Amino acid sequence: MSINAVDIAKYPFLPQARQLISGLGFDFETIVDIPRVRERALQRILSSFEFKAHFSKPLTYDPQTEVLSYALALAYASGIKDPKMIERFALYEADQINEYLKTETREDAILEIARAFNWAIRAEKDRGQNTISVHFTKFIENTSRGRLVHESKWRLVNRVLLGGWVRVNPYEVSRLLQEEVRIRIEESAKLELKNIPEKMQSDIDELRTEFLKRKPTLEEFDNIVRAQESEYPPCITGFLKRAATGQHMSHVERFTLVTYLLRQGVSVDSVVNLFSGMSDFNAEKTRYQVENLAGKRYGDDKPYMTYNCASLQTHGVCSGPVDQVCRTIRNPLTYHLRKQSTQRTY
Amino acid sequence: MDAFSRDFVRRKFSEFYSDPTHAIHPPEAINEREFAFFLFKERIMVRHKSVANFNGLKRLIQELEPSDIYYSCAYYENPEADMHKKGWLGADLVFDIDADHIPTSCDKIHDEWTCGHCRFNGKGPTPEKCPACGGQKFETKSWPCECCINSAREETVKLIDLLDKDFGFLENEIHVFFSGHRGYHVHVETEAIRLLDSIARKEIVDYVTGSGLNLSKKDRQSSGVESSSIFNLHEFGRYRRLKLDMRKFIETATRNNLADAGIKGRSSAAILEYKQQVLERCIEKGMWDSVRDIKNETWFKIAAYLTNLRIAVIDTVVTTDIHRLIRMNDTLHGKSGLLKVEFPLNHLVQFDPFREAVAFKEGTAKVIVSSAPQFRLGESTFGPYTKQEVELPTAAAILLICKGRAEVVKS
Repeated sequence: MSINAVDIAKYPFLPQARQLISGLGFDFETIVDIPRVRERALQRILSSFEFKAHFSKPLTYDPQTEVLSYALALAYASGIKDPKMIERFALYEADQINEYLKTETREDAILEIARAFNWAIRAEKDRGQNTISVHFTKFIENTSRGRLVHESKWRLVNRVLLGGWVRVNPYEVSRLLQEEVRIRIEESAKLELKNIPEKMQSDIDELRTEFLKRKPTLEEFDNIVRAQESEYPPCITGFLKRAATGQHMSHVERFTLVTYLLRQGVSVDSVVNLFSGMSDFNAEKTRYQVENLAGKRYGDDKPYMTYNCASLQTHGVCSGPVDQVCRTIRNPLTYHLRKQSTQRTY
Repeated sequence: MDAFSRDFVRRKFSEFYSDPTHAIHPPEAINEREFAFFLFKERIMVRHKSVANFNGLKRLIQELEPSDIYYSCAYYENPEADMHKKGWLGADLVFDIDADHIPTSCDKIHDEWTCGHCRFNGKGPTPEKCPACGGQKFETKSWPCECCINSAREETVKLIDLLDKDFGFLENEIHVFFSGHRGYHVHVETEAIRLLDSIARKEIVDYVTGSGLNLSKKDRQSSGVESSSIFNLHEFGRYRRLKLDMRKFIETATRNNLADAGIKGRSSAAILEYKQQVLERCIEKGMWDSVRDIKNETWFKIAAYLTNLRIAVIDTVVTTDIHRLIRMNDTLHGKSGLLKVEFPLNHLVQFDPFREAVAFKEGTAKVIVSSAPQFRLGESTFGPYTKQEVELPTAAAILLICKGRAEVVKS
């Protein structure tokens, strides 16, 4: 199949789009001076700030503007250098692309896009039916993070896996592509931009100011509310009890307990003390390890992330979804937040 | 191990590595790996070492005289740097299958435990609490018994079948090793998996163990209608393998096995009494509720029990750790004096670790054995021994010393 101009506009990350830009021979200085391109690029960024994004369903701009404004918006996002902002932008663009993919009736167009990302993907006829398979490495790369992790149908364990290939339907390919786009945009936007033209820099500064104004609202749900001990999740309560009574704990259990407590703001001293009942307790060694997990040894003061619930299940140390709250969270750290919000509801 | 015995083993290990007839197969891309060595004397791990080539590695071994040699499954730009500055370039996919947690017919009677608090001791699996004082800290002495190692081998056969058929890895990408102690290592070395991060590898582990398998019909209903969870197994992928495991479990199940899975009373009696019907109707035809007294709950329990067994058998932390240090091929295990050795996939069933992993083939040594079960090395059988002095071939003497069951007689 051939990728036409409209496709390039819808999917501006395709190599054909890059060819179009390099064919035009434009640099950012030129691009930012084209009013409709600049307008569209700013709109792309500003739309991503919205709580509920508005997508342009039928293309409202010409393909060239779409492609150039995508490149410019990416450069803006990169220049703003705020991880939260980059996350929002990537999510917005990926959702927009999914809007197009959902209405895509040409199966080969979807396959073409997948191949543009170097996916190992194949379409075959099996007993008269068209089937699509994706190599398992691509499948898990796109399902193991982001928004698909919670759905059991995206877990590799629940799929047909044969000879390294995972069977998927066209809708699922689109959904996986959406994740791929999101991850790729995030990666590209994290690259350092050099020699930013003056006009672009002033746009970046304005956008940053605008974003910082809205950031507190966007981060409302990320607010750090620390848990009281009575609000700890069942796994952590269990580990605490075992640590306090000097029972043996595996590496995964110790790691989970320590990182959880550190992330809840418990001091290194208190965490070290917690293990003093262990018969193999060595204050110096324990302190070294706890400080290491607290991130103090590398000077960034940010504790290691606590394992996700799914990882605890993998390692066989999840105490099981004994209560309703556990079934709705991804990480033990958010247990108390979810619990508080359910209590408020009822 | 007393200082005298330790020195004896250290010298033997060192002589072994100096022997030009002993071939070591270094890992691929040796200059991108981190190496680590456990030292006899200091009992510490020396980490973050790198070598430009194989000769460099040999020199380090001569110099450090280690009891154990490890390398990283990861490839780094700068293997000697601190962890966060190493520049991770990728990692092999590694599985560690250890006999420790597999229920076996030997019942681990060769293992010994001593309470760290009151010194009360016993044989077999370590209890959760000391029967005498209730203490929970134990010193343990395990034993690499043939029965245990064979059970680990059975699990390895299953894993390799899955890596081959489901994951589609090629024969030349899968490397299988006897670990030198109580299990097997499987390394997958191919570009396709090299860049997978820890979270993605977790998905592979879950597939291998069956963790997260959606076993109830309820979850699959989109309508959200409330119904009790109905046990359901499909015929494809990981489901089919769980079905095979369940079939095998039921076929050989005793009352005790069922109790281990949490099945007691009428359900347990029904499974034992109507075994044939259970196998044919429930497992074969998927009519899970067709035998009286065997409810959905029973099937969920069996599935969970079998999944947990596999989680224990495959060290899930090893496979998901993309910086993991693993024992190097053709080097000695400090807890046994046996070698970690690779063998061809099609040799897995015939492979005899007690012959092919024996490193020390010459000489004898006099040792005082505190206690040891009967064991075999090569063609010869030794023991059992209790508090006695014996002269043994070097390999047998070193095995006992390394296992903490004997000391060298000071002449």
